[in-house]
Amino acid sequence: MMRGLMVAIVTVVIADLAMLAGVRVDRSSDDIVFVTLDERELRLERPEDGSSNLRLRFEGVDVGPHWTTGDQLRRTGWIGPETLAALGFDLSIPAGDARAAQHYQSALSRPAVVAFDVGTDAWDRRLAEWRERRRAQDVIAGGVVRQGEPEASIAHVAAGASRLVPIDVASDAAALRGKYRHRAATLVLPVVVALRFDRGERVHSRTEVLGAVTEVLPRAIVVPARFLPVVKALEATTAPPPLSDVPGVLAHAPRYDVTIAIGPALRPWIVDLRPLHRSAPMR
Amino acid sequence: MGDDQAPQARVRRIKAFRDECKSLARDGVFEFSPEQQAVVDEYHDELLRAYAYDDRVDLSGRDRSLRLGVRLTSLVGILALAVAVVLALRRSWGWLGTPAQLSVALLLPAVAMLALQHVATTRRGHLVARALPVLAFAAVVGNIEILGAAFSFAPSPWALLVYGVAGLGIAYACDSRVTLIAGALCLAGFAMTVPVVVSGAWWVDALRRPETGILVGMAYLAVSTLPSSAHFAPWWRGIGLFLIAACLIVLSQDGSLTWVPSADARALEAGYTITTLALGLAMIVIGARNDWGGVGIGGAALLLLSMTMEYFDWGQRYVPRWLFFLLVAVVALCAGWILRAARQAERARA
Repeated sequence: MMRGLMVAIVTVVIADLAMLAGVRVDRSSDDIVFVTLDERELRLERPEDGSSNLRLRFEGVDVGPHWTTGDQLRRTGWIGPETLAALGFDLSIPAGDARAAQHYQSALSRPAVVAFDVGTDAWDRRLAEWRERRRAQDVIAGGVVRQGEPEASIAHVAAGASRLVPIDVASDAAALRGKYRHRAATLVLPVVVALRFDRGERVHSRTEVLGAVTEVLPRAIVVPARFLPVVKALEATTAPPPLSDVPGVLAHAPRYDVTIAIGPALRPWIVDLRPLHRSAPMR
Repeated sequence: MGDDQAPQARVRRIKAFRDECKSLARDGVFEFSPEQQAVVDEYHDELLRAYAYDDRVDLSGRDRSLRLGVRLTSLVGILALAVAVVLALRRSWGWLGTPAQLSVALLLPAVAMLALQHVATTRRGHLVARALPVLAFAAVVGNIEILGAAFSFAPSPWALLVYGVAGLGIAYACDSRVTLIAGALCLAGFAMTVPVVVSGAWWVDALRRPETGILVGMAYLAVSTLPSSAHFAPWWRGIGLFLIAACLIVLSQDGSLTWVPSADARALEAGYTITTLALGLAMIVIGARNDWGGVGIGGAALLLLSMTMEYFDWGQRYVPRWLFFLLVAVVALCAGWILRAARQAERARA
């Protein structure tokens, strides 16, 4: 009787001590990076079951070849074969081989770390490429085909989309953090990378093996209780945000910005959450 | 036989003895004198009166049905209570500061364990004693989940290890089958992630390599034979067979989920299908030979499920459907013939 309970109690105590010690070591480290994001990248997530446990969810981090926002704003298939091999994926079978489909479709995902730039030159370049592509595309509106998306529509998406742009991926978190240590606008997060076998029907015109970020860890950060009055005040003074036509794109000006800290263990936490003026210009 | 089964077996023997005595008297073979009958009846009645206070003992078939009803409603009540506590906590959780959240998270399992120790020793067999192990296990899960969410921990297989060990510890301490099942499944989940993590892959993808689950299921079958697990032997056997059967069915449907990278998926699916059918038959035979009713029923269910799935898939790809089911019928009839022969041998020995 007692032995079984002792085993259970000791197991839980060891697990709790390990977690709390890990948090203490991580947060007292002198290698903590602070990054400021706004509502475009961190969306307020209010649970539907009436819970008061608010979270901020990362937006625009699922970057893969099957991105279907309708406009290919995200660069697809950005994790190339060399990087995938460096991450440990077995790419020994050529994409055109008859065994390739089974081999790559059954390959297991691998943990990795991705460096995201926030609103830097990388974001400007991506935006420019995307504008060009949208202007060149045929658009069907009201049954009429015309070339080029309306400028207003392009501006809406460009202003409301998450500015997170993946710029690098690696398996070694410390090395990747070291590489971008001096850049204030770079956020390194743990992710899961999966292989996507493209038969030339989706992204590329030829059969290819691509890498996709399928999960960001953590997907959301819990909002500490001390910031709940800020959120309450925001919700009380601003009208409910309208829904955007384009999934993942904010339909209004960002209402808040958030400073998050992230230590060597890559477990982000919120250090500040400030309301923004409603007329704040979009970048 | 464990302590829990001894009183129930005694009640069964008393009832059988009384019935047999009545039959002997009716057939004129033997009859106690009124004095002897009174002494025996009084002794048995006293025993039954004592057992009537023991919640674990059924004195009649109706009593057994009612106890089953009480257990089922208790289980629903316990689960609903656990959900209610969690939802109530969630409503106000966000307004608690981090220190308060941590205190609640740390205190939950501590309080539950203390209560468990107290109640299990003083009110064994009582409804509260059956509810607390489940609540204590839920508290352990809540503890790790709360800490993980508060500090942005990535999901980890180590949580499964903690749940597994704690669940089994509680199960063995308090004779709780619900936490035994939960703990064993969590531990199986952790074991399945080990080769995946060692290979450098993301641990959640362990579900895409179910062959490891077959090994874990076999390990659980081995555990069921250990003397220290005799009390839970049917449960270990059931969980082990469930794991093996579930993994075999998944692999028989998608052979590309194998650990063998160069294997022909179609050939593997065929191999695993045959293995699944063989396992189903073996379970029926072994269940019948050892008087393990659950194993036999499980085997029949596995056979039916597997055959239904193959009706839509493998059967029509490789052989005509009529031939596939003819083969299954022949094998099943052969198994029945073997069982009949075994039964006759058993009856001859008796």
